[in-house]
Amino acid sequence: MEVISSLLHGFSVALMPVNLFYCFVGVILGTLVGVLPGVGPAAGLALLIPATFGMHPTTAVIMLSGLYYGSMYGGSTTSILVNIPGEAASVVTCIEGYQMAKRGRAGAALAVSAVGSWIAGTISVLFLMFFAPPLASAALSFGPPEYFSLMVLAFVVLAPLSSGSATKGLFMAALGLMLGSVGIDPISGYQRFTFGRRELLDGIGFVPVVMGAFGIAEVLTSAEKVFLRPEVFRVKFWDLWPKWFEWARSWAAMIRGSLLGFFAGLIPGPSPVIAAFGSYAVEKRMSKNPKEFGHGAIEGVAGPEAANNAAVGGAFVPLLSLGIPFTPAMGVLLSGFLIQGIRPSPMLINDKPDLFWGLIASMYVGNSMLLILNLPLVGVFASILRVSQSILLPLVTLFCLIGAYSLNNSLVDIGIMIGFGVFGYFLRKADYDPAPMILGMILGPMMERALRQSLVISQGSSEIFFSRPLSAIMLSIAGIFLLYSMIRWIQGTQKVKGASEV
Amino acid sequence: MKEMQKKKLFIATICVLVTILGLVFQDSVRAQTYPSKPVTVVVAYSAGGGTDIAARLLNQFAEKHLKQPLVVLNKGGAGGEIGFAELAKSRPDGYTIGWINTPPVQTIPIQRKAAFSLDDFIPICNIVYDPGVLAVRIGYGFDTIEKLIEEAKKHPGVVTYGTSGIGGDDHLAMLGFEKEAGLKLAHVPFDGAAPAMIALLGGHINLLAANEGEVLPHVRAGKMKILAVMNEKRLASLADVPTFQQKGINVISASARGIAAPKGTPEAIIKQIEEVFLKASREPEFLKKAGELELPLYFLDSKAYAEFLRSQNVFLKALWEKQPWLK
Repeated sequence: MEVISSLLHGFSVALMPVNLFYCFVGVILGTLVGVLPGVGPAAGLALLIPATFGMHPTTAVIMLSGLYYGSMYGGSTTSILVNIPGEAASVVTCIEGYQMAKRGRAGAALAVSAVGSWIAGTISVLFLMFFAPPLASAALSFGPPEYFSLMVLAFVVLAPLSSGSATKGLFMAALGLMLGSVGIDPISGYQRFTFGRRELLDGIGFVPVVMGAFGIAEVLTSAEKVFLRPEVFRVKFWDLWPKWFEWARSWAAMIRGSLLGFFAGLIPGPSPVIAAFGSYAVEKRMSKNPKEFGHGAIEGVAGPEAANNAAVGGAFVPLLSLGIPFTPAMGVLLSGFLIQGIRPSPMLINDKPDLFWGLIASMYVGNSMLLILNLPLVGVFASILRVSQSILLPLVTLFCLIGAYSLNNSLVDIGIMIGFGVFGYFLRKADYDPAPMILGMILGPMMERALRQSLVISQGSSEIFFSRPLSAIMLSIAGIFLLYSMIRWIQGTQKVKGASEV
Repeated sequence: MKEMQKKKLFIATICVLVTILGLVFQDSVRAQTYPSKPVTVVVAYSAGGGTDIAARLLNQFAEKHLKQPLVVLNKGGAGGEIGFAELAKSRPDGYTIGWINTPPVQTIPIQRKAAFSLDDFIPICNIVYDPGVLAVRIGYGFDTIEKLIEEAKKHPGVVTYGTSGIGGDDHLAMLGFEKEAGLKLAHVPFDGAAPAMIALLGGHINLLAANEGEVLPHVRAGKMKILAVMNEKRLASLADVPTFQQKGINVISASARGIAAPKGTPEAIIKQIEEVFLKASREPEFLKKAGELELPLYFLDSKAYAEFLRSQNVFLKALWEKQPWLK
């Protein structure tokens, strides 16, 4: 097949020593960016771009891309070890990964996360290779009504995934929706809840909130424990490697996560985060032992970590075929391309086959490099847990502060992070899970914008959501889901009634 | 014990003296010829955006003439207000300059209580001039301005156009178009040009108001067609596309990006910076790279740029009085 021969040609480009070297540099930097809490791929790419000025375009593209998908490998490390997400998309890994670490299974979690990421990377590159152009056209068929219905579906499916009481979860989701509404109204230009502060005109960024509500809150919670009962975190290293049954449970989650993540990447928005949440929800529902979720279920690590990597792969489809970035980090990557004189477009595959296939081949190479790098380092990373909390926590806080500031050189982001850190600390005390709040903040604005754009297009008629097939399908699924959940809930209360009557 | 205390006092005094000396000498560094240290270039948008790329590219060449590094400081947010305000309140000593973008630098103070005003800046030179265009998807309805106007008149409020956001140059241009041609269209704002282009390519909106630089690749790929350009003359890259004026509709709109310094920066330094960027913008390597990026260049010197900004500001103020684009 022509694709195979093009790919082989691509490998000949990717395996050139200079490209190999810069691929390596890119993925190492990416892993580092991922590991450091607060510094995300967008920031890392922005910092690296000036270094690419003198480089050959193909080499630059390989290195920059390596940084991006590399960052999705590193993000899980701190999530698992200290319950602090390395970057926003690894938030979900904290939930199960940290619990596993507490039970001495940190090594297993890290390994599963690395392998899952590799499988996701490979699958998404395969899809990218074969299906990029038709997928891009399919992505175009998503207009405002389809986005709205998709957001509704996502919300209905993902909102109940909070650990703990469903009511509390809904409350947090509602809070998230409210927080997401801060800023300039996208359709009319009204300022909402900005209190005259221009820093709030763009809304409350979800990245500082995530870093705060998960990162800083964790630091505060752990610090409190150190004061109350100083203890060294004892981790048994008798099993750094996942047991066979853990692999058995994980591999299906990895495949599911990869597929989900890749297709999520085709939708504009912070797809790695959404994909990770989505995968978690799917795994929880499909699991034979759902009770284990929240206490260290390995599928809850394997799936989301695969999903966030696959989402990066998926996001490359519209970038390379249409030249349109679907996530903020992709935007920065795109400009890195532009500076090299590369304008991604439908003609890219034909105009610059060396570049396109060289990049694809380098993704295989890069993903493999990451796996080889990360697996042996599992032991090294796990031993970070041995470092006394009184050194670890301040260091992590420092990185979070640097990361939050690096988003926009703004002290306001730091303020938001710290504010939500304190808030998150109290939330934990009251047994509230901040995850639905984050979802609300991300999905809410997207949903609202899509809704109102659709209504402009339809001149105010809601019929548009049902007359368009894709949208109608998604809304129906959401409706069925809601119905099903309600029936389950009613049945649940009936059972309780029945039991108490006996 | 007394020995130890004496020693500590001695060391402390030395430290304090050194610090004071350091501060004193720091000031005298400034007294040397400009530029004696790196210059910060404030960009009011995030890294990777159009302004950022143009700035970083030009900096590469300008550094050679300035003989000092030019460091980009991204201060994005509030549509540019944060970055513009940052520039406005910087020290006018020539070590902080920045990029200002039209129309935000003019419209933001008009449409709300802003942290800066156009008078806070001394324009140094304009670099990029990206004219507005009106685009449609190929094979999707009207393929001339006349047909569009006809259709829009028959069904007021039905024909949709997408823009990169409310109050942006695309939006204002379309409001002007509506007024001039007596039409009523439906505005669908997006979060930037990219999502708006996707919507057009997917056939979800009828028209797209954007800038030349953004749509050119898609035109070349045969996916989009430009109905008219919002410029005085036809564009070199789109020679067979009429201007709005040629069709009897007076719509001129563009996104211009240039460099400015805070008010109060000495005249001599302004002239020096202007020279540097003039030379940089003429370098063949820069022109070549800018061409690859499809950056439409249009150099204006300090006087011409100031006049351009001022006259556009007058026009925008008048437009706001008659037809405010935000409620």
